[in-house]
Amino acid sequence: MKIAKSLHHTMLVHMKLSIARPMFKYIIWIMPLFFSTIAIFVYGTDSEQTLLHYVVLGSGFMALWSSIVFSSASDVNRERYYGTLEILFISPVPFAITLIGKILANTVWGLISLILTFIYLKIVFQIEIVLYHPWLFGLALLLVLLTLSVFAFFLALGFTLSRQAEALMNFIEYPIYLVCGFMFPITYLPEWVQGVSYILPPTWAIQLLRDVTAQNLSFQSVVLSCTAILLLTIVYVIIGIYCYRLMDKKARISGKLGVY
Amino acid sequence: MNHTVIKVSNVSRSYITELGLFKKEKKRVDALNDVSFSVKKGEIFGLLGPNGAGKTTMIKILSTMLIPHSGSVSILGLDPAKEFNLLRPKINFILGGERNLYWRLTAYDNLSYFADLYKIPSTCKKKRIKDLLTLVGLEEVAQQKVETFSKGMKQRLQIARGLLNNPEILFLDEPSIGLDPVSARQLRNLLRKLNNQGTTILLTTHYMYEADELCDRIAFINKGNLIEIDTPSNLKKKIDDLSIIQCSVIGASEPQIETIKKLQSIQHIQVNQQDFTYSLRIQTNEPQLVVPFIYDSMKNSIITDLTISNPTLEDVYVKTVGVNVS
Repeated sequence: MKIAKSLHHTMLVHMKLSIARPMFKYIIWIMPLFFSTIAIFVYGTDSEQTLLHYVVLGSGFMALWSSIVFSSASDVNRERYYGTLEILFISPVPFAITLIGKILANTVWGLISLILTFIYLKIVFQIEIVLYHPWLFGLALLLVLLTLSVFAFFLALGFTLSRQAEALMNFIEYPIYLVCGFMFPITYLPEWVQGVSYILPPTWAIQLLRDVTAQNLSFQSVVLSCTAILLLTIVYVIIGIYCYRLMDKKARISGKLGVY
Repeated sequence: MNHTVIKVSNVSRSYITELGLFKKEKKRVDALNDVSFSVKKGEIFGLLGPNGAGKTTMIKILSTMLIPHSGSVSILGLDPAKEFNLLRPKINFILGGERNLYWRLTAYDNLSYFADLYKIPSTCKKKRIKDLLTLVGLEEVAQQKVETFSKGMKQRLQIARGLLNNPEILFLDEPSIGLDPVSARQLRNLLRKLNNQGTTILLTTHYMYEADELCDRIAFINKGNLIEIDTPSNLKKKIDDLSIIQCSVIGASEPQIETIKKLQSIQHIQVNQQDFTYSLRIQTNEPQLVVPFIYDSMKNSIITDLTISNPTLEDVYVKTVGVNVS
């Protein structure tokens, strides 16, 4: 119960802290509008289904990805800069709970950004957003949020141990948009790149959202995407737990938590 | 004060740093070398030393943040390297300086969040926060963002944060660094009050007067080695044969200062220069020889004041550690 309360409080605190930063405000309120406008210029004359899959879901998902993964991971570096990382690390509530709380906070902001994208496209560009299977979409979205959160947790651990991880994070933000096919099918990519795409959870996450919003629902495709997401989530959970234990020990061996 | 609550036995700890861009060269820095000491319940124990002496490393080891490379540590009968989950709720630590808080949150929100991280029950959380804010004199600004606070206010808020879990042992790392004299005095009063309520305190500082005023026992530490450990009065007794001569001279030249430095009767001299004024602090056991020599050497200069006094803890420190302390 106390852990749940800490998780809830961490989430609220970090929602406040995140949105107080101008860069985060830009990521949540402005960036999705730019992305969706660019996507409209690319796909403007295509079918409603393509617009839904590559403009609405594509640009919305980019906002979600940036918020959950990019922000959650670099939040650890921010704590280091504030000088609070060491306090969080040695408080009785496990550091993992704090990390999960941060990820949940950014997930909520990411969802708000996703909804904002939908509203912007609907009002400004009059795009018809029809969810043929709303319940299925809701369930798929929950699964997608879970897998992105697990992936964010895994990346955040890297930040806890190394200050250099931020350089990697900046380096991978945009390539992930491309490699995971947020705005176009990954079949456009060279085969060797597709191999990389399939081991990254965002690829399957966006695919699942496209599957459940298709007018002609392919049960087989939904099952394949769900299975892939679940398997990858399990793999990243196992790696995450292992890395967390390693980080917990290594942080106390290297003693660099407070160095920024 | 009866039983031992902190026992540090032969603790060593080093850091490895890498130099160079491509061919990285590893450099080992020994932060602590075979350090041993113990602290009794209800004691205020001071770790004193210059920058880089190993004080913060020791605090980090004691507060479960760092694992020593060798030796053993026991706090309240628990090993901080292995039993940190049991130990963390019973201790807390406060770092000096302005960081370690969320500046964009209010003082109350900061404490409320940290209270949850320390699993403080909701039934007593509000009262605890209110009491602590009153204790550190921040009750009127509880709803103000920390970014609007002065350094002293931030430091006091840190103290309140460190007391949220009512710790049995409180570790403070240079708590008065950067504080003005009034805030530093308030801090010392607060620490004394906590100690009277039964909290064991281990603090690091390089302000000698602070340690002298607060600590029951003091350990001098330098370059990772523990040099001396005793009560402030016993430490001072070790050099009570020395006299301290302090004087200020206007318009002295460097050769004149050098002449004084060469006098055999002087055991240690500390020289500070500000504009045209030199301040000298001299340790000697022959003041009757040194004082006339100063007057003889300082012809054409103005000696504005000269006092002879008993040694302070700073003098013990200078003699023991052998470095200047300003």
